[in-house]
Amino acid sequence: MSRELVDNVLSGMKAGFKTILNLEHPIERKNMFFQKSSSKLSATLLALILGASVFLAGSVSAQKYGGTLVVSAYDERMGFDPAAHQFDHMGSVAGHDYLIIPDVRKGPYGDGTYGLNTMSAPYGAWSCGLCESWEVHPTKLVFHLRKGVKFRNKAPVNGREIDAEDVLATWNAAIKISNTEASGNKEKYKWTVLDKYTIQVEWKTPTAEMDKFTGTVATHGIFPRELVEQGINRNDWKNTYGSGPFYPTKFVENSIVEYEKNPDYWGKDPFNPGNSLPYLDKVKYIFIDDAAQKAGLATGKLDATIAARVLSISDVNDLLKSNPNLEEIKGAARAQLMPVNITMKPFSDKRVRRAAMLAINHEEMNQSLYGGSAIFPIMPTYPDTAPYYISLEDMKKERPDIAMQYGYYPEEAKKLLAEAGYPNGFKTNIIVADFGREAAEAAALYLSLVGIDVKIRVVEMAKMYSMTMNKKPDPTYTDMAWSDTGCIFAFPTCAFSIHMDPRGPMPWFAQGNTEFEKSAYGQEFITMLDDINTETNLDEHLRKWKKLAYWSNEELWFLPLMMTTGSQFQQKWVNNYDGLIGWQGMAVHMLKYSWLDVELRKQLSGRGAKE
Amino acid sequence: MLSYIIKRVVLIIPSLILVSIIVFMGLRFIPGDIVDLMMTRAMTGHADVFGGVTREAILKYLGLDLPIHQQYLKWIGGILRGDFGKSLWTGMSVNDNLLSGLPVSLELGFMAIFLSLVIAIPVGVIAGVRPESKLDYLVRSVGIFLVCIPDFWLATMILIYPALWWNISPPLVYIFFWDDPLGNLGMVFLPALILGFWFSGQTMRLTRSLVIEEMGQDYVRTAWSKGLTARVVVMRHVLKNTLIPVVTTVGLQLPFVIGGAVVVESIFGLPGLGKIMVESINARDYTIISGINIILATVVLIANLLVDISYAWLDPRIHYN
Repeated sequence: MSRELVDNVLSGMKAGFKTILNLEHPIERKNMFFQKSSSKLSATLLALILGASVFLAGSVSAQKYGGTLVVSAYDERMGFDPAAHQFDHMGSVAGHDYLIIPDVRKGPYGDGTYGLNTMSAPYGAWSCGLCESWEVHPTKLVFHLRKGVKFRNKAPVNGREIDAEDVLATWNAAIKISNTEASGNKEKYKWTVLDKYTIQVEWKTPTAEMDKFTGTVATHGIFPRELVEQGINRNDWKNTYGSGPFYPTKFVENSIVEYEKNPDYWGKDPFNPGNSLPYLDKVKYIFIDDAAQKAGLATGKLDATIAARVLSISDVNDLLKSNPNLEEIKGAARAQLMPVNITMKPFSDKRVRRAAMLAINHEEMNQSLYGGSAIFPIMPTYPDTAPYYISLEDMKKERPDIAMQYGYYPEEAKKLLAEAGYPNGFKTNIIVADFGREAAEAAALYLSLVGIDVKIRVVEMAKMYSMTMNKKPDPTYTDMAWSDTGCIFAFPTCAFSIHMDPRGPMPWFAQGNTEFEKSAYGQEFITMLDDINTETNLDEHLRKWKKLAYWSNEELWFLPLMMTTGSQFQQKWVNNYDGLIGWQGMAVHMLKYSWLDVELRKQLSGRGAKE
Repeated sequence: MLSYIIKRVVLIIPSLILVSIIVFMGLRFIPGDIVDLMMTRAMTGHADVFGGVTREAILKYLGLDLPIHQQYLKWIGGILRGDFGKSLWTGMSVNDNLLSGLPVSLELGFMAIFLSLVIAIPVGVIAGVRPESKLDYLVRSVGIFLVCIPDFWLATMILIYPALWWNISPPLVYIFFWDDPLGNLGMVFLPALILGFWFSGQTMRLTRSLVIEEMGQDYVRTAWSKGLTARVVVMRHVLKNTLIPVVTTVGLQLPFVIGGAVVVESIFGLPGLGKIMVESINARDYTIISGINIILATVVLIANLLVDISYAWLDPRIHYN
């Protein structure tokens, strides 16, 4: 208690001081030593008053310490090596800090700038994690590390302070693991230690999309270099030495991961600067089936869920009716696109592609399958990627012909099909993994009304990915497929680069056609994309990006449907959780802000603090 | 008898070698491989990665670039040293998976069989002793019902509806036997019962038929004419002869029960081999799948041997040379 008291006072005073002198702001830094004495005195007095106010506010804050949060999770082949599993939020992330993290003050329980319809920290929403500031240059980022942040107090590290050499060691370890994103970027990025607390990363080609690079390069869980030097097995959960808010204390594969609070964690609550983090004593991630999750939520044995699952409206209603303490949170689930083979008839004709879009009643599909919660348009990116996202309203003003594709015009569709030489429609296939079956069936129904007779073939997801990646012709695949684009990050050119670039490994729209890359059509796209990626002026970059966005909507190599929003649940006694659906896989990191009202939980569910 | 047992144990080895080859090779032919999955996962993170992460680099990193026979020999050599390898995704030891999952699956499987026998044999005997009675009709109907009802449906209904209606649900986190034996047994009881229902239905009907047949035999007529009580006739004479085919059925059903526990394990959140296997198949984690298959094959072969040995105990006329 006394430590918290002192922390509160000091934090309050510091906050007050900084407010006056704006010391933290990297651009408008004022040198206080050149101020007059009288202004220094009044600044100090004001700081004391402000500090006292902040202290008082902090001491009556609603946040409570303690309790064990039980969260249901999915088992996604999690791992504990932060070098190998950059975004395994249930494994490696909890015990490690990143250089930067999403700015929770702009999130759902902050000022609400960014919602939960995102799988990544949206543009402009990064804040400092292990760094205290960073500099942005055209071809480099320079990170200034916080001083005094320590690794876990356990041999061989023994609570040593983090320095720039550790950041470099983390990167060097990651690039040696061939299936990591870092290894794919090892030729592109160069990390250099400038001094004990400063490290920079450079690359050759300047870009206007600095935010994406920041998010790409600075989100590795930093671990001590001793782990590499001494060959300590980082895959073993017991060998977690990072500076993160929670450490794993129990792991049973396919069953549970338990975390306990790091008592020496350096972080403070940005909403209540006097409060040390984390609030929770323990977190339990349990890997359970949908049925068990439903039972757990209904009975109050489960506090919250992680990751939004697309549940039926009746399932959601059943759950909410069964337990009045439950709150539902909507969040991003998946974006659904239908790539069509544009190198073969009938979809090689743009009129046929447009007809298919006009034939699907997007709004009705949204209402009947997703209760109106799905989002469209999503091609090529989705909300929360401002200034890139093009809303339907903007589209209607700028390109009404394209906006029309998201309406429902079956007669127009039939007309286009007739013009293209298919007055009676045609037969085609859709290949889809199980998660897309419902939407595929709905789309197929609408297409059948204009004469496009669709046969749906459901394959296992691993097979589907292999088919997506395979550039050799697959005789079983002819026309349409399905893409669950995981690429719904705040990385606007992602959809272009991953899914549309003919040079990439996933050109389903040209399945088996290895010449498409060299064709005039393919080169037209490549030229535009390369131009965007090398543009350094942001305004010009956005202008070119928008041009390609409309081009892609016009050419329709993918038929974009909608982004579903899934449902996530939490009990009334869980606070500052609000889903934590994605945010660059940092769900566990965001848990440091969450807190439990243990008394309320006991009152409503009978569970004690440690259960 | 000893020589028979030794011979059977020795024969397990070529059976296991054959199983290992079939499993190892078979996995490589399943459509969709781990490299594609890993590349998809790496690439859908950020857009500018695909130029760097290559299929060849991942194959080399995972050791899958070696010729298939070398991969097999490396894997089998590890197993002979007691090392089942590492998960291709997580890098964690497969031994740990097996050590944690096998006891759970075995406990669930054996408890399912035990419970099903406890239900099926007495009920089947009673029905067989009183054929064409109301009880007999009831038993036969229940038997058919238990055979027909899917265990995954039953498990889901039992889990969800008591929770929604009466606020009752089993523990969400698995309780290990060594942490809390009673808690563990309480947790496993319901899934074992559900898993055993199908087998129970089968066994109930089989037992009934066998009892009816045995009751018509001359030695039973002789026993009745000697003035023995019904209890003695049934328990000491009829039951023993009835059990031999039932024991055979147990031996044949064991792999199905343990393998079929996948769904029940998933629904009830039991971290058994079945659940691990399903997750690994979806992720194409070859080392885990292969390791689990070898272990399950070994369990089945040993179980069948024990079943065969038990015949000699049940029927003194049976001698193994």
